Amino acid sequence: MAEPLASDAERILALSPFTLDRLGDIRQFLRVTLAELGCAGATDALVLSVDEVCANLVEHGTDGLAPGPTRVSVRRSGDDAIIVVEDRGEPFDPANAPTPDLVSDWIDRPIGGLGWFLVRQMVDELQYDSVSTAQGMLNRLTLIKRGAASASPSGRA
Amino acid sequence: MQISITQQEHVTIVAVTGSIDTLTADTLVTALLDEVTAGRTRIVAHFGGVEYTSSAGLRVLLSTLKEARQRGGDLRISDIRPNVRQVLELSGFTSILKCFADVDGAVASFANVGGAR
Repeated sequence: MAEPLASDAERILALSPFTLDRLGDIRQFLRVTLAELGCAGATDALVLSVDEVCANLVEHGTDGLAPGPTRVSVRRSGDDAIIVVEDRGEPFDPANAPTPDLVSDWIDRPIGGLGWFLVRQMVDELQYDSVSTAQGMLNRLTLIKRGAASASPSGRA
Repeated sequence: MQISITQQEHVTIVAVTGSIDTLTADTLVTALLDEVTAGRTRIVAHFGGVEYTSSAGLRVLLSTLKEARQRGGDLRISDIRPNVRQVLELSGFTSILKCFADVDGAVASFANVGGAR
């Protein structure tokens, strides 16, 4: 049997290729990993956030395929959970996502456009970097949930 | 995700089990809109078995709600789990979508307005 990982060790899920039928695997990876890291109380918030981020990669990819390999890593720093999602698609800074309409009556309410809004509600920090690597440009999105190790199960930021 | 469709007192109950994400949402919206376009516009989405939804589930609900109301019916929802309710509340859906604690209450609510709206 493998030695238990240190609580601050990084856990990685690599998806190549990454297709939408792997979203369930990503959510399961997060549930298991966050429990192992003592951050189970932040599971709902982080599962939703990472699902939204990863679904976007495929939706903005081509033919239902995210562009290039995608990598999700999870680690704990103190009481915070830190998740990094990396891909090689078109750069997109979520700071540029439009503000959604949450108040119009049903007939005027636009369908869609809530994904990034929900991510922002669920995490405390969202940081986007476009990184130059030997294999080309890499998108790196970092999601930080503060106090994840002591969060209540409903887990809103 | 699994979908089970039954009729009760001129109301169509669509019971959903599992997770609604970008992959499964297409199947669900197709099932719901098939009912609405077939004239079964009074729909209860029984969400007791929905353990998770992303924003893809919100798109499904709003698409169906619009189609149903524009045809004189409605989409109502019952038995929402706390994590799913949180997504609906944060997104402002609880102000436009009628939510019920149980499926019987949701079905009965259609009778109260004569079923037309």
